[in-house]
Amino acid sequence: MKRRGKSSFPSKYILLLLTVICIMLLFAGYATGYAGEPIRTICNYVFVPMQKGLDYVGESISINSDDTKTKEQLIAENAQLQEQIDELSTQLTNTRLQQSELDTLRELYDLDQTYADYKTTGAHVIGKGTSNWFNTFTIDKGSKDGIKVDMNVIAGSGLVGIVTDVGKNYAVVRAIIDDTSNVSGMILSNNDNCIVSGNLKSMTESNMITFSNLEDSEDKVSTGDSVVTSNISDKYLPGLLIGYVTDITEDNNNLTKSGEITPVVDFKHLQDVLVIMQLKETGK
Amino acid sequence: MEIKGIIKYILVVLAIVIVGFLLQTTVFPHMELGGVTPNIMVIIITSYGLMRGRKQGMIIGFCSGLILDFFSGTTFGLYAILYLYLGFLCGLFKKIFFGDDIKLPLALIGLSDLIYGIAVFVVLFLFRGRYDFLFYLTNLILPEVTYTILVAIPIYYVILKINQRLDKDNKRSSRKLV
Repeated sequence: MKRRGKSSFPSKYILLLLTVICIMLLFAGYATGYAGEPIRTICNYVFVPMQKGLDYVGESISINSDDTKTKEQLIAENAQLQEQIDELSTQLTNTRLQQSELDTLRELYDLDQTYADYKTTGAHVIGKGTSNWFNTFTIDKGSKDGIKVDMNVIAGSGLVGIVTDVGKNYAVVRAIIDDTSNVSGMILSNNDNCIVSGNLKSMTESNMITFSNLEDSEDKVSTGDSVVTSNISDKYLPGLLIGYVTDITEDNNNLTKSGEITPVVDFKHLQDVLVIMQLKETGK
Repeated sequence: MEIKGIIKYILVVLAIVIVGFLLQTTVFPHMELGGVTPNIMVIIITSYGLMRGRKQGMIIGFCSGLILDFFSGTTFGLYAILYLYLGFLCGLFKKIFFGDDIKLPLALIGLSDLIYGIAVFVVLFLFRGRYDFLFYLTNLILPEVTYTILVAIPIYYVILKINQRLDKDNKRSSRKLV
C-alpha cells in the first residue's frame, strides 16, 4: 500500500509557501488591481447559478414578522393603507399635472436633459456580503449585460452603492453604508458640498450614516434637508438622492460641520436594484 | 489511501466548502439575528483542521479564503491569508482531539471566530482610524461568535459523519487491494 508522499514534506514549508503566495496576491491586488482572473471564470459557472437558486430558498425561510400578525391587525393595517392610497393618488394627480407643466416649460427652455433620464437596468440581489463587517452584495447581472466597474446602483429613488467588481454574469456592489464607502454629497437646500461616509458603528446603533466637511457658513442647513450626490464627484452621477439630514453638529474647528444622515433606501430588505448604465464622465 | 480515494476525498471537501459558502451568502443573511450572520467558513475550516491536521486545514483554509476574496470586494488575498493561518492553528489541536467529543471542537470554533473577528477589526478598521474596539466587540464579534457556535453544532456533526464515512470506505477499499 502506498503512503501519501505528503507526510515526508513538513507542513511548515507549505505554510511558508502559501503565506508567500498570499502576500504576493495582496501586493499584486493593491498595486495593479489584479484579482485572479482565471479562478474568477470558474466562479461564474459554479457559484452564481447556485446562488440564484438558493436565494429563493433563503427568501422563503427568512424570519419574517408578517407571518406572526393576527387577522385583526392585518385588517386594521389594510384600512390604514387604503387611506394612504387614496391620499397618495390625489397627490399623484397633482404631481402629474405639475409634471406636464414642467415638461412644457422645459421644452421651451430646451432643458430636456434631466437627472432622472439615466438609462437603467434592473437586477436581483442574489448574495449578501461574506462577513458582518462589510456591506457588499452580489447582483445577477455582469459584463454580459453591459455592467462595468464604477456604475452607480439605485433602488427606488435613492442611491444604493457602486459596482466594485464585475464578472461575466455577476457583479459585486459596495453599498454606501459600507464602512469604507465615501461619497461626495451636496445639501439640496443650499448646494453646499460635504463628504458622506458609511459608518458601521452608527449603522448598527441607529441605522444612520455620517457626513462631514460641510461648510454651511450661513447656518442654513437643518435637519430634514435632502442630501444628493454632488456634481463634483468622480464616480457618482449628480443628483441621486442619498438621504435626509437627521443630526448636525459643528466641528471643533468652528469652520465645518458634520452629522448624521438617514439613508432613503432600506438596506436590510434589498432585493431588486437598478444599475445606471452610464459612467460619470470626468474628462480624465 | 489510493488515488481513487484521494480524488473522492478532494471532491467531497470541495462540495462541503461550496455548500458552506452558498449557505453563508444566500441562506443565512435571511436569518439574521441581532444584526449578525454566522460564519460557516470558520466552522468548516476549524473542523477540518481539527480532524485532519495542519496541512489539510491550511489548504482548505487557503482555498475557501480565495473564494471569499472574490465576492467580498476587499483587497484580494486577505481572507486567504487569514483562513490559512486559522486552518494551521486548528491543526495544532489534532493531537488532543478524540472522535465524538463536541466540547473541544465547539470551543475551538468559537475561538477561531473570535480570532477572525479581532483580526478583521485590526486590519480593516483600526488602521482606518476606527478605534472603538469595545463597541465592535460587543456588537459584532461576540454576537457572531455566539451565533456561529450555535449553528456549528449541527454542521460539525454533518462534517464529522461525512469524514468518518469516507475513512471507512477508504480503509475497506485499500484492504481489498492488499
